[in-house]
Amino acid sequence: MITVKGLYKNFKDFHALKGVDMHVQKGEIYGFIGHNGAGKSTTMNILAGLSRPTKGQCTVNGVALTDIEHPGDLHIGYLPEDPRFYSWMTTRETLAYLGGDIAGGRVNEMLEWVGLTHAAHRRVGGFSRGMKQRLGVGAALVRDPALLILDEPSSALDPEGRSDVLRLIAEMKQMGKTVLFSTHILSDVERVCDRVGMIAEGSMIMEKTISQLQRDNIRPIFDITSAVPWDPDVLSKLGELDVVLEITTEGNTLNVMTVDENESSKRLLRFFADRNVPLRSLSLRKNNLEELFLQEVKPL
Amino acid sequence: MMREIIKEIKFGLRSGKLLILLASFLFFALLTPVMLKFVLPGVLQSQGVPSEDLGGIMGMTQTACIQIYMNDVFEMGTILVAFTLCGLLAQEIRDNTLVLPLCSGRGFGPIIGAKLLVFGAALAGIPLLALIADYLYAGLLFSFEVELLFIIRGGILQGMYMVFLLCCVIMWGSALKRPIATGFLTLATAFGLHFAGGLLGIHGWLPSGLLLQAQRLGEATDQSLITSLTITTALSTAMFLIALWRMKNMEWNERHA
Repeated sequence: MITVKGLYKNFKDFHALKGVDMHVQKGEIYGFIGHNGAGKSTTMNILAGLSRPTKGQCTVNGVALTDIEHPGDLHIGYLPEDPRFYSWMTTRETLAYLGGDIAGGRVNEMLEWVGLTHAAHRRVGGFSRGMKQRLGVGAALVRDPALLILDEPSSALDPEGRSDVLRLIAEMKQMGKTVLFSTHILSDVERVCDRVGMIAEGSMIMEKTISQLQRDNIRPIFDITSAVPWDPDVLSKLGELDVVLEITTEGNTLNVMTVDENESSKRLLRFFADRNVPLRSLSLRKNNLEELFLQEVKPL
Repeated sequence: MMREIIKEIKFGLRSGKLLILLASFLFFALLTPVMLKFVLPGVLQSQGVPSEDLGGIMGMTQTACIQIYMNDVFEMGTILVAFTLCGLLAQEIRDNTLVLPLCSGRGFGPIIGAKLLVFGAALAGIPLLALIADYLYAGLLFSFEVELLFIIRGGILQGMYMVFLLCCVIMWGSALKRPIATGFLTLATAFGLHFAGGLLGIHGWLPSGLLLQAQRLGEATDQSLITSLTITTALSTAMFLIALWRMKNMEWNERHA
């Protein structure tokens, strides 16, 4: 549904995007993650036809961005980071206006779906951020597009609002829609996405399916606490074990990332027993997307 | 296009912009006869001018009253239109409220066209209505001496000048994206053209010629009206097309500091 090759965007002397590549397949939910200012919204704006790329090829919904004269030519649903509505319009009027001739009976359906039936006749100007965001999701879907581009749909919302928006995104997948959504809240990506793309300083640093990520990047981490301060010599020897990938320390606790669970646990226990290290605790966990993101972004 | 027109009508009514324009024009239209009939003589008498000399100092007639109002229309009307409607397009661009409509397939032409149609119709009608009100009230206070036909012609010409100002507001709004700056530049354009017309004696070749033609009560139209009309229409069309071109080549959803 979306193919991006070598996308560049310059704002005068500032290089916002430096060769972004991205592939969003039909029917998947694609999580686009990165720090604030990494280039997510710039990419989303270009993909929505609102901004022109400096260089690069982009195909959205089967249409090359170079061929469009108007954002509407893409036939997508778009939710900006900060959706702006006409404050003097009511919710129903907003959806009917944005839906145009296509909307028809979908206005009531959308109102119910986003949970704004009770506010159908209220003016949008008095809405909370969460209500505006839900209206934005409804507005993006009212024309029944096959592809939705949602820019930070769950950011700046309270936990309940975030949960609502994520539920709506998950339901979009069940409707057969393709969704590209950006966020800097990594737990949101883990909850609903099929594929993840990471962007940092205008460059894509990783693009994988969640299952690929789990297979290739999500590793077991043993949190090991000692009764005494760690001996640097022991740590140095520990790092030389072939099952150990990375060691970080937090006080008397070691976070040891390993290649697997079973063989590594045996080797670690044997290692500490051989050196008479008085262990207080040893527990196993998996690294999450947040740690992975920090790990990937750190070198940049 | 119909949805855009309905949207603009609702906006005009709910934001109070149409009401502000109507009320302001009517206020000036009704205030002028009151000023001329009651306030001004009172002021002059308090300064020691004998009441029998007042008629000689100023024309206390319906014609004088209408012409004073028409001068006000250029000065106050221009300021009123420029600053009431300065955000018509500029605010929408600046606030990014056009982003969702554009993504929903709303065309640039219908968006600007509907604004021009709805507010243009209002601006064409309001000065005519206000001038008729001025004519009737001045006639009641003094006596009827001007033919209604000249009033209708004058009102239509003033309305056409206001539509030209609206095109100015739309064009500068698309270029500047800042409502207040748009208002000031529209004022500068209107007053600049008027002063240039006066200085160089070329009112007939400028939109300001429409206002001078409107003030010719009791006189038949001449060739310069056709010239003013043609040039005003051409300038208005050009400004509409420039605004359309700007919109098509704009980067949308920008962050503003």
